[in-house]
Amino acid sequence: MTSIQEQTLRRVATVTDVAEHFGVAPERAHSVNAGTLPFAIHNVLTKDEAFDVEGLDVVSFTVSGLEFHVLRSVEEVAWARIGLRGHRLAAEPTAAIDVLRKALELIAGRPNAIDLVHRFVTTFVWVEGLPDRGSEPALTSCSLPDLPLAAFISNTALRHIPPTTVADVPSVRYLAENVYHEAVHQYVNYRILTEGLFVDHYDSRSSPKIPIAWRSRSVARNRAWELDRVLHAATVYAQLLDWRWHELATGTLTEDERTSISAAARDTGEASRFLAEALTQHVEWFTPHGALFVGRLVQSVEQRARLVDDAVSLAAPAVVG
Amino acid sequence: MNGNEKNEEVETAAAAEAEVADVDRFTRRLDHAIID
Repeated sequence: MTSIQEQTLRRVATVTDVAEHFGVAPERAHSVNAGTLPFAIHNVLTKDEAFDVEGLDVVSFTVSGLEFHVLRSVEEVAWARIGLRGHRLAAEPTAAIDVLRKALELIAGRPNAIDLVHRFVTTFVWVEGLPDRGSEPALTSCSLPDLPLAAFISNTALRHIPPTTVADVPSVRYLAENVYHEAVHQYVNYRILTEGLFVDHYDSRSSPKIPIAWRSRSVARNRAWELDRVLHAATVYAQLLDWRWHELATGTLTEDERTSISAAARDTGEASRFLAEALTQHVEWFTPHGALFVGRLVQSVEQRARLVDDAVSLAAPAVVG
Repeated sequence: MNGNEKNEEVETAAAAEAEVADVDRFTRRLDHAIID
């Protein structure tokens, strides 16, 4: 952890701290069901009352003494407000809770990772693609900045790890990584919204766009990213390099897991270097505090990418001839 | 006070002074999918 991350984590001991820092009144942050906090925060951030927080139905479970939640049902109008086109809430959360519990137990084996997850993502929304979703791709996982503390995840998260690796065999290890991935998004989101990382006149609608080569065949909104999205992705990828370095050092990986994680790690090293360079080229869009964040991120990307390059080389079969 | 401590002090002050930014100024959907 860098010193900035440590300072942020000192300010945020629990999810109620996150809610309060986003403007939820302390008495309300402590009185509502913790699983519904993302929706209480949304109402404050967007200055409307889109969600009937008390009417939401969540089921809670505990892993390593930490409480997590799954959204069990939601009214149609509230789902429309969430706005995940082409997707619906999965009908029955029991199977989701079972795999999430296993994934969180894996994450709990890494103190830094579980520290981040239990502060920034404690409500899970298990989704599935609609058969008639048109050109809308089926989500692996997703974070929405106006719903802090929440992660939207589908069964695909048991097979797909970014940028583009799809494993032959589903594994809870991939889900664990994707949960951690979304927690990093919500951590970055917290910092963007509460710490003033971008200059006041920054707006994603008028932001410079960075072409993303590995998403060139995607839907239009994913082919070029705004700078705030690049900051998100570079931070996530830097953390995933670290995560995958530890994964590759794990002796109990299956052959499929090792192959998939090695491939994803190699691709992520290249992608994170590209994103770090893009941020450096556009650093004028950041406040001094934000520029310091970017500087430290660029350093950590290079260090971690080198470590992972070495780990992947060691894991690769020897080439003869 | 060394350089790192000074940096941390400045960073903490900057973070403490910031107001919550307007969420509409930032990308709304951060997702990934297989064909992406």
